[in-house]
Amino acid sequence: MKAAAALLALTLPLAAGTPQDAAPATFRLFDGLQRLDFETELLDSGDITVWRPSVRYEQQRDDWWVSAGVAVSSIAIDYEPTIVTSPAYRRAETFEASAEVARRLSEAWEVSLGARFYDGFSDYRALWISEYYDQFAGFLPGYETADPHGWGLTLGGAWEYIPHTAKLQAALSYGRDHIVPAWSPEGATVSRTRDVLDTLAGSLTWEAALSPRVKMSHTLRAGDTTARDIRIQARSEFAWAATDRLTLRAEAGGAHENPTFEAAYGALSLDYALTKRWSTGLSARLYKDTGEIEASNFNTAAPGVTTRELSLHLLWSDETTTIRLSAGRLDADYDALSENNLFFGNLYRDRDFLTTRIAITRLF
Amino acid sequence: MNRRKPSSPSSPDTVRRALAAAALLCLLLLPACRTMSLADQRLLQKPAMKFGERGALAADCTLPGQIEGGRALSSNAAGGGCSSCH
Repeated sequence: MKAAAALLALTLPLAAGTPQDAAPATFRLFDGLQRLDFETELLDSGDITVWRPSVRYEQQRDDWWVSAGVAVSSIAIDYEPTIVTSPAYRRAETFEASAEVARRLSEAWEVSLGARFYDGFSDYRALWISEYYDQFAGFLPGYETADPHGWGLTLGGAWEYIPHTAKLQAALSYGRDHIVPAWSPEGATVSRTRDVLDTLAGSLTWEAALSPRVKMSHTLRAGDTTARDIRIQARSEFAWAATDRLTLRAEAGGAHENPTFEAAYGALSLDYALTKRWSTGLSARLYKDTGEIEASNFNTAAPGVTTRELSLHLLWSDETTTIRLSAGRLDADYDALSENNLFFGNLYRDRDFLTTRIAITRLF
Repeated sequence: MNRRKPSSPSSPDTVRRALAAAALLCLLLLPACRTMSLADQRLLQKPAMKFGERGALAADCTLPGQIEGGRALSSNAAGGGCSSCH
């Protein structure tokens, strides 16, 4: 009897509900903390228009994050030559895709892996130069219409050495770009310059709070691109919550690449919370670089440029949705051209651009 | 992989600027190592106080990077799509 009672006591818990009786967990593709970003940007000077809508999805489950995004840039130019070739209107679309996965290894450590791909012209300058060569050398045997595209991989890590207050981030990236080459006649045919560039780059970012009202972020990046010297870039940002409503930000940065390229920029911005939901702000930025001129028959490289940008923004947010509208003006003033790049005088002439941006972020 | 052009040495001015920036950053090391309580973090968590954000939380438009080649810290293309561009 006692043995039977003991056996019954052991089996009762099993009979009451075994793991085999539990309903199997259903995997749902869209689960966890999720986020959608919709964005559309515009850069317009009248004869040059770049429009870039994009969408990005992010999901967090336990210690994992995954994200994926696509964007389609539409570039339109009113091509205007200075010497040879003819005026033309040209438009091209560029498709971009990216994906990233990240995992939190512990309270302080996180690693990530990202990939990107694009097919098309990366900017309006590439499209303008492609139009020039299509006209100038397109009829010659051996000429190939440009087919720019590229891809890249990024491996990253982050160490939050003081929770919610300070962290170090490092990233290593590799990319291959098939670019718009330069063409030159050689007798009855044409030859082209290098059209594949590989880039290996590393970056280090240090972000920390200096006080309950001040944060800073510093980034140092070094990139090695085919047939070029290493480019060093640095950027520092500071944010100061001057009051509960007013936030001031400052940014400064620069770049250096031998033999002659140097860039420097600075920006100031303020953000003011009008109400719990609405805020507005103003930002100004000044940028200057030296350009890079190489000795050749003619040259696609840009001369030095100085840009001044002023923009306003309006922001609405609640617990799940943030909407930002911004508009501004960017003045680009180029240095004088040399005889080597007069062919692209209208590409590198002074322009005033309108910049606009609409962005929506939704959490669910 | 790369056939790099012959390098020119960095100018003394560039080296001095880099050293000055590094020295300034070292001054920030001590205050950057303090721990913040949850109450201290209230203002630090405001969207306007965050760096490296995306979507509507990001302040900047990316398209000016097509003109300001020295500012972009990440780009789709290494050389802006042109053979000798940067």
